[in-house]
Amino acid sequence: MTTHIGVGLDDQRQGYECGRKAAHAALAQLGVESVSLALLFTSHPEPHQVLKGVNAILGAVPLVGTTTSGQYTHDGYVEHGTGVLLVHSKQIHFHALAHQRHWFTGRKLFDPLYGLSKEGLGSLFSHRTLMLFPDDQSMNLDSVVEQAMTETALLYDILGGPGLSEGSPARLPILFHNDRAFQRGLSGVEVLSQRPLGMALANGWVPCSQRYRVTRADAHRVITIDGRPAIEIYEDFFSDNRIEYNPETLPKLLPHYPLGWCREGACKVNIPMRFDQDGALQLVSPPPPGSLIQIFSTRPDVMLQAAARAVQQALQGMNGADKAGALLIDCHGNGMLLAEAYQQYQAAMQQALGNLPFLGVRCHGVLARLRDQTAGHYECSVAACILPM
Amino acid sequence: MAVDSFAQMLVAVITASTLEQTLALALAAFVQLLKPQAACLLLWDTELGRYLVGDTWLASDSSTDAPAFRRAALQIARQAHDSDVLQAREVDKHWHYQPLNVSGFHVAAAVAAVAQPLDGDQYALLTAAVSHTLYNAMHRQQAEDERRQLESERARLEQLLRAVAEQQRMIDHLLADERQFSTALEAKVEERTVELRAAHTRLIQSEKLAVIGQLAGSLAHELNNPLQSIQSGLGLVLHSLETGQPVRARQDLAMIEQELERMAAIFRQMLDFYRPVSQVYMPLDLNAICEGARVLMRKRLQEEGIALKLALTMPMPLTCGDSNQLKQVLLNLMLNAAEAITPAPGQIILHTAYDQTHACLSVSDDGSGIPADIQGRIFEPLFTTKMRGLGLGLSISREIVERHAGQLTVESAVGLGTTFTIRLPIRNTSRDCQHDFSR
Repeated sequence: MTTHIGVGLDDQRQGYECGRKAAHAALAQLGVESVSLALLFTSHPEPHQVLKGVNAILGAVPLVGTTTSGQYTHDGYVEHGTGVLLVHSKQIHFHALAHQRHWFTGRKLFDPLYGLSKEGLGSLFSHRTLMLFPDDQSMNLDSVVEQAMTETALLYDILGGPGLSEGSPARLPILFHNDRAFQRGLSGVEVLSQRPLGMALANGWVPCSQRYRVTRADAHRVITIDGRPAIEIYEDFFSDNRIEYNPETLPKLLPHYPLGWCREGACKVNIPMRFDQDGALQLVSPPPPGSLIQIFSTRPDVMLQAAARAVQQALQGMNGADKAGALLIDCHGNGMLLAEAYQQYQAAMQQALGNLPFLGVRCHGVLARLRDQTAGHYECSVAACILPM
Repeated sequence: MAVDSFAQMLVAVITASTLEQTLALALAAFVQLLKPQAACLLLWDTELGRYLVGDTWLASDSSTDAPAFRRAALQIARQAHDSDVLQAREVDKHWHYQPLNVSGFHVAAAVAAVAQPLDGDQYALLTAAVSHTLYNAMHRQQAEDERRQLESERARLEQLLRAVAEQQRMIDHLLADERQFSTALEAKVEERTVELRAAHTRLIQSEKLAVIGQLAGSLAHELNNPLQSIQSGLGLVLHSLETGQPVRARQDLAMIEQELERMAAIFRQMLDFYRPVSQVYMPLDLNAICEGARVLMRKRLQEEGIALKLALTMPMPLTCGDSNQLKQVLLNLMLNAAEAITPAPGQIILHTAYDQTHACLSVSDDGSGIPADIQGRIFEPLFTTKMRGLGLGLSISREIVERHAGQLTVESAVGLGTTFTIRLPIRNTSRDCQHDFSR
């Protein structure tokens, strides 16, 4: 048994102290001095200070992560705090990577990736995973997954959580790589293991409308659906289903009715953010023109069941191996939709994990390329990643 | 409408380069002819089985807004389509529905809010032109979309191939490293194998010494008896010569010669046994192995009150091997049998037999027997029930027999005795033996 995981959570008011204490708690739970990988997720308003505090405790260790809207562990949930997950492993190899912007210049995303080097392909490691933490603005997140798949010749599982832009105008998320904090791009880690990691993604969305055709879309908008401004489709849908709305209630109502599609039983949805003046719908990863989509809905109890199912399926994927700990990549939208039931949602996953140490983080959806799933950016979904002991 | 203007309008529609442009120009043409309050072109989506909105036009003084008009137009078109898709009709006095078909294939529809329906040659011409142009534009658009998609797929595939090629280079490099490593490893394995063989040979030799050690006391006695006979025989010879009895002296000398022959036989067996492990397998007779073992063991067994009986099948077919190693096995089994006969008296039987493929030699005793729960373990290295000894005897014996392509098995019952059987393949020629050894 050579893999250990320690998690720490803190919500000190000062960023530096918050980072320091979270890292300290994680190190104490880890129980060993040497750290193979540190994952840092913070919702603290001073993310740069948080990173400094974490670096002060951990020193020079491979570190990746991003700003998120909340973190949770067995010790609770914080929305202005920091979660740190530390891994010590002799069996699993980690290679932290970062890429700052410029991907649209045709440059590869993963030039420095060890997967294309001796340590990755052709080595004895039969399970290769990329964990990616990009920002949610620089490019279409479906494309991030697609590019990652292509550059790694489809030989890696992919799992990740985009950092979350917040506020209006949107504040871009901060990405972490070792002792560096930056905007626009991605941080990530290549995980090479001889044993399988348990990974699964689930959500509770079901289609509740007829099928529509996306007729015009760009990088972040669905402009027309069925040849009409997207807003008209939603207006008709609300009207047909007797759902009351007005311009004031629309922003809160929209996340409950995402656009998406299902393939082989797995549904992928994109949460509408707002309508533009021309009636176009803003989305992080809009479906391309020509795609057939539907409007989806869900219920809190179904979401809870789906969350527990994600954890259970990830545990089953371990083939009975002992488990060291888990990372839960949760979508910020889940908390918005569930409101007070969000605590029960967390508890459902916590219960499925038992005593296993874990860190849950609220990102802008989940990036996934997993078995039996359409690869891409999933919103209002949750993914569990369990590391073998 | 003036013929020139109409012709220009028609040409513009027909020569439009994109679907979007076609829709805009076709709608403008309808508007010019129909003079409606509002109009739109709807495209038929075969997969969805309903209309998508192509383009919409509203008069500046229209009382309705675009979304409301689109909704109404879609509803009108749906109803009209469901009743008869091929017929243009005035749906009611405010609405006109014009299906646009090509060779019975429904392409689109124009819906207009009009005060009066329109008919006539120009309208028929426009309808036909728009139908065909839209049909072509939609197919062109579809082909263009497919081309773009294919190009995108091709670009992705090329990128993927580059990634695979890079990885292939990396794997080739690793394989080259691995081959180099394998070669070094093979040399190391060979070196270790030679060392292991030498160690194994030493181990067998040390087991021989242990057997000789166990036999040393009885062999000393075995040699002492003829020596004493020789000594007293020599006295008798001297006396016979002194008393002038040459015939008697010759008889005594003959007895001395017999005793010397007996001593030489014992020494031959011992030297033969001590000879290093042979690397060459030769044809051999299991009966001869039994005879040799009897010479070495007779005294020891006699002292312990154990009778040794030979029940040998004559003649025995030949088998292959190193007689010295097989004698070691037999002596080891006989010593074990002797130890099992406690208290004496008892007996050990050496029995040879054969079937169509194998020659067998068994060592049976009527000793204490081996408990069933440890019978499965007696061939394990270092397993012993004795106070002395390393517990290697049976393990090495089995290994020696297996090296001879044979089996060493045991049958035992507590209180009744034990039989060990060596079963070796019959080999009639030296060539067969060489084949065995080379394996």
